[in-house]
Amino acid sequence: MDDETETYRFWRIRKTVMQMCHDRGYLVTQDELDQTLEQFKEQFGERPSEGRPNRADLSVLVEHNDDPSDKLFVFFPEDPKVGIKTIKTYCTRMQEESITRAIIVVQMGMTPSAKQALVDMAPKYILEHFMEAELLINITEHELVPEHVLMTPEEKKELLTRYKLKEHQLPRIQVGDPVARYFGLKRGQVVKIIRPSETAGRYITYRLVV
Amino acid sequence: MSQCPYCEGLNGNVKKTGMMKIVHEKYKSTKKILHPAISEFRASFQNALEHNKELELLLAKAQEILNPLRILTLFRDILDEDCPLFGMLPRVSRPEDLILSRIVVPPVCIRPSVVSDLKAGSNEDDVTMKLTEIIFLNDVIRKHRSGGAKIQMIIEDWDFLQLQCALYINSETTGIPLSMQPKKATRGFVQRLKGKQGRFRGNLSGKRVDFSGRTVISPDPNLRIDQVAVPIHVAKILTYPEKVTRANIHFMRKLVENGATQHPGANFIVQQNTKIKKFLKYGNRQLIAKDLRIGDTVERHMIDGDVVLFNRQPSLHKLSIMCHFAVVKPHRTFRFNECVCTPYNADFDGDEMNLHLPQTEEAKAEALTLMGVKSNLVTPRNGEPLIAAIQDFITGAYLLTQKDVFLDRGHMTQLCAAMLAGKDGDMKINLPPPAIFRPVKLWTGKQVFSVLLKSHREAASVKMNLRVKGKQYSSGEDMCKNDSFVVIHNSELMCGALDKAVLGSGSKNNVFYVLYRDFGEQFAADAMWKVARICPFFLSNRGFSIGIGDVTPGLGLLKAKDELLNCGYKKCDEFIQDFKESRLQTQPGCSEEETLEAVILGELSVIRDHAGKACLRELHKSNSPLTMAVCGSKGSFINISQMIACVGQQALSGKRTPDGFESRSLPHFRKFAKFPGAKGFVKNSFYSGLTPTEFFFHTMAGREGLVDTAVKTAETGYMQRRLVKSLEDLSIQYDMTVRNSVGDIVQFVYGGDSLDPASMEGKDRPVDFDRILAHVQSFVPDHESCVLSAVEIKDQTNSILNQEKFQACSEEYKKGLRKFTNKLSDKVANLHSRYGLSFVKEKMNTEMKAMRLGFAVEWVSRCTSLQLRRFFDICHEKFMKAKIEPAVDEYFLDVFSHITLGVPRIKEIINASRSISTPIISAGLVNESDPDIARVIKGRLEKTTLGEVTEYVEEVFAPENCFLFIKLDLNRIRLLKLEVNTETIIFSICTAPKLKVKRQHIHSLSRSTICIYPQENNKSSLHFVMQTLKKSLPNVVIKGMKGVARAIIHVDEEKSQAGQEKYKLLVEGNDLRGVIATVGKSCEAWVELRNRSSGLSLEC
Repeated sequence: MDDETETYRFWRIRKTVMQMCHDRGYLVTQDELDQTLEQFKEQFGERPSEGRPNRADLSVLVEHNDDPSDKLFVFFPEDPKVGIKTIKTYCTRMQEESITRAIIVVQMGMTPSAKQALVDMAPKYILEHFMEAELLINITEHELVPEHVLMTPEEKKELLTRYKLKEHQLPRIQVGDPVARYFGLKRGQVVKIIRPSETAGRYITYRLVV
Repeated sequence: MSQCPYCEGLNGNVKKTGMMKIVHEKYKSTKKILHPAISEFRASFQNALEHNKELELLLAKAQEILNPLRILTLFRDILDEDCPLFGMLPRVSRPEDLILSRIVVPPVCIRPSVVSDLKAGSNEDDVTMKLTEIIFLNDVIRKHRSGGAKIQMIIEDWDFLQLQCALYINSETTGIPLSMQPKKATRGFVQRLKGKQGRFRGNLSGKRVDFSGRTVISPDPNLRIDQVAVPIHVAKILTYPEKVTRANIHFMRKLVENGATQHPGANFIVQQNTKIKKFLKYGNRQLIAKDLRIGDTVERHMIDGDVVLFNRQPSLHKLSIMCHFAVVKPHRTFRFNECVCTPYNADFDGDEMNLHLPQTEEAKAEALTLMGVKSNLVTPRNGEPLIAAIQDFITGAYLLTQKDVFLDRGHMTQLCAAMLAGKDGDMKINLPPPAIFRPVKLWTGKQVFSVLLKSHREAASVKMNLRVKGKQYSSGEDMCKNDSFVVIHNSELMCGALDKAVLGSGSKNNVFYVLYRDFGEQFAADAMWKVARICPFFLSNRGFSIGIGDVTPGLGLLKAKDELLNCGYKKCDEFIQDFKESRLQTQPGCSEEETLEAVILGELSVIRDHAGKACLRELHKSNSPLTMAVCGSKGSFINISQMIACVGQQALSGKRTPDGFESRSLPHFRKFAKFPGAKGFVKNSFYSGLTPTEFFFHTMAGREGLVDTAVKTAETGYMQRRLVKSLEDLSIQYDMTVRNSVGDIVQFVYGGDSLDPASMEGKDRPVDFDRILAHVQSFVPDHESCVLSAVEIKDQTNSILNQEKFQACSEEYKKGLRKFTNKLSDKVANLHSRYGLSFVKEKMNTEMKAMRLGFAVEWVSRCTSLQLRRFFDICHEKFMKAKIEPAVDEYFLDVFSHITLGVPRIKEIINASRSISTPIISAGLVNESDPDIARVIKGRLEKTTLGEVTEYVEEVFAPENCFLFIKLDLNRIRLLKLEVNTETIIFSICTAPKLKVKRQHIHSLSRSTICIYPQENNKSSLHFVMQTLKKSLPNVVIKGMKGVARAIIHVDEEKSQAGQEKYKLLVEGNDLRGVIATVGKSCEAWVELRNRSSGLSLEC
């Protein structure tokens, strides 16, 4: 792949990552969200083959809007197929800086054992992984993807009492659903989905993450 | 291989081998160092091995057979604390309970013995027989054991016993060796429960019922649409338990006297105090009748006016069972008005239907309100009328309302009299003044229809209004030259011939539909009944028939047809010639052959269409098939032209007839013949007669149609069952959510707007504003009031919509209403300003209003305050009616409509198939107007192989070495806008799977040439490597995505404007992520697939 395409891909991916962090409620400046390709090249360089930018240069660390101690790492590993070794290094780094959440953007995929390692660390350290190809485009901007809003525990409780519902009676959305992954949803959370409707203007539904 | 933590025994794979044999590979080991237990086991054979050498080979395969007894002991040894791992609670059940050590013998009522008529003794049930056999086998085993028989014999007996026990439970056990196969098929317990005839579906979910009947159906237009004629035979068997009251005791006495054999009679009576049931066929009925007391129950025959349920299978939607009033009639068929054929999907070619008589007053009342024919005039799917005039009724009405139909007083009164029947028998009809007074008084056919609409006891209140385009509508509204614009003004048919669009089902501009919505079901049903009486009456007096003369083509037509055929055939021949010389320009995404088929098919369909048009031009308007096609009652123009002019191309699965013989469709033609006649084109008409080959092609297409319907019914039936089973428990709760029986939410608001689809009058909204306003304007002329100005209309709208009662309406609905009145006010403003009425903009005082009353312009699109208020009242009322009621069962009917629309795709959706048969991704482009960019993207997506862009691949043998020489077709690469060069191609070759070519063995000599030096290896010679390489090189993918076979540049017609074409890509494949992620650079601008309109649209 030539440098130009590679740089372009980096720019797109980083942009989507920034938007994703923003949508999850992490602090991202407007400049970073609106970064153009030229600005990107200026900041990181345009020769990926010579290590400018390196994938490691792209890493991001963001703080949550409401709780500055809640930080999120975004890693871009160099090796195309990420193994358990890389995960370990990231993990130690997170331990050092006492950060519990991270996103790993992989190029090709992950070894099964690495995936297992992510699951094993789950409750304490939450590591999510995305493929580069997935992040070239921000799926929430697609016209067929309706607006998803994560509900706070209070809102969820109010919803359940309003309809006199048990949690399991709500419609469901899978944790592995692309949108659920985009927002980093956890089991038990409820999302509000607002979708346009031909007949009713808009239709609001709620889904429980399972 | 693992070890038991308790006894340290080995634990190998457990396999099922053959019938009911389970084997434990305990001593199998692939390791070099054997486990001590295994080596010990093998050592135990030391002695045997010495005597039999062959044993050594088999020793490695030694297995342990797990017979039921062994398994039982194993299960017993499982510790209590391990049981939860199996999902068992030890105090409730333990693993060994899974193995039956005893057989349960059911009581005799489960396995009744039948005393045989033919032979002595009795016939025993299958279960009993099996049990006897099992007992017998047990005896045999016991005898063999005590007698010391061979161990093999006993094992054999044991296996057989095991088999018999298995068959006892499931007689369709598979994998039984041939020698043990039971001679006679029996019914095990599994078979008793399973399937449609099984206990669950056959006896528990569905039962045979009393008080029901079934017979052949036939039509009777003299019956009201909510009636059904029941034969006396049936009426005498179906009874209703009527309580004797003071009001009916005389009638009941009469019935009892008549007894069981004479029609209005009774079969039994049950006295209130004794509860004794007396049969009324015999005995002194006079006496019984005299003794009849108030409070007794008389099981009387079905009589006129009884409420019955009428049903035709398959009961696919709720309209398949409806409630009628019975009319007891002689003869042997159930009869009903043809208007009701549509919901039942019935015809009279021998169909049978079922009839049920509800047994209580509550049941009758409920059936009548929920399932009554009159309450189900519209389908709950979308609110379109389903019960409406059909076939002859439409033909009759069409012919009656022609412009040239005039009736003298005799005919007019006779026709009007035909409307009088039933409870309206003595009604007075006001004959309108005749359309022509001199020389004779003549009425038009349209006046008959006006009488029909007006003749009602409450005639004054029924003033329906309708303006609708008919089937033949051309232009100019009421000045339409085909007289096909129907205007009904206050129940007076002003102009237009009535046809299917106005009378038939499936249209919301139907006369009966308007009556139903504006005046209620009774008026609609009555009007339909009157049409059903008048139209056949008129038709049979006038005469309507079809003969050979109707389908004989004239000379002109024959000549025109010959010309058409010659011209078309010549064109086809040219195409074929082009194809043979490979000059044919291929269509996008098609091979040459496909292109040829497509163009010929197009040409041939043109021939048929033109022949059809020529034939229609020639036919006289009195032609009967033409009349029927024009008014839409039966048949189409294609059917007519097939009879008269040309049958046309016979298609098999959408293509021309395929080759059933070697390279030809039939042996009558030369091989590779592609001319129209050889591939199923029928140039003859049904009148001129088909040639033998044409006839054969026609039967082929006909057969395919039959098979298709048969297969589709079976498939859709099962799909429907599965869908209905999963959705049958959905209902709307009092919090307006849609939930299933366990309270899981399906929708938070029914359909998003909580409106009942059955009440939608307009397109997806509860009211058709235009129609209602027009109706109000004619219904409430309001001559005295002053017209509203444009501003006033807007003001009044706002004030009305802000009223409290409109709070209940949805914002969306109010938005629609506002938009409508805004349009109205714009129209009024335009009109007024055009004719110089200056005060259109401001509000007026009374003086000004009084002044203005004289203007003629004001009577055009006139809207007064009263009318506007009335309009909003109706709109409000209709919206509130359309709000769906809680606890209404929600029924899914959509399957029905999709039967014709790609069953295979729906099947895929329901089965949740992972790999779908024809995935298509439609992808929008950011720069959608540049075809070059579209082509670049297409090149990036579409799988391109090396073979497609090479001129040739040659083997070159030089003295020092030999190599493959690839010459690239640069021109083609440029045309396809492929982003490849020698470097990328070499890279693709190197990375291609299984080729095993290394980078150092490939050289590029110029921009268009590549040399590959094959390397000899230990598996094959140089020559052989070279040959395989040469063969597989053209298949190397050099660009594009693996799963995308085709990408087509599609001109987006919706977005395209004149001179500015917009493009999008249709990509075959299902790798959406890959497609979305396709980016690249071209023409100094980044090109990417825009995600705004790209979506995975999966089409069939």
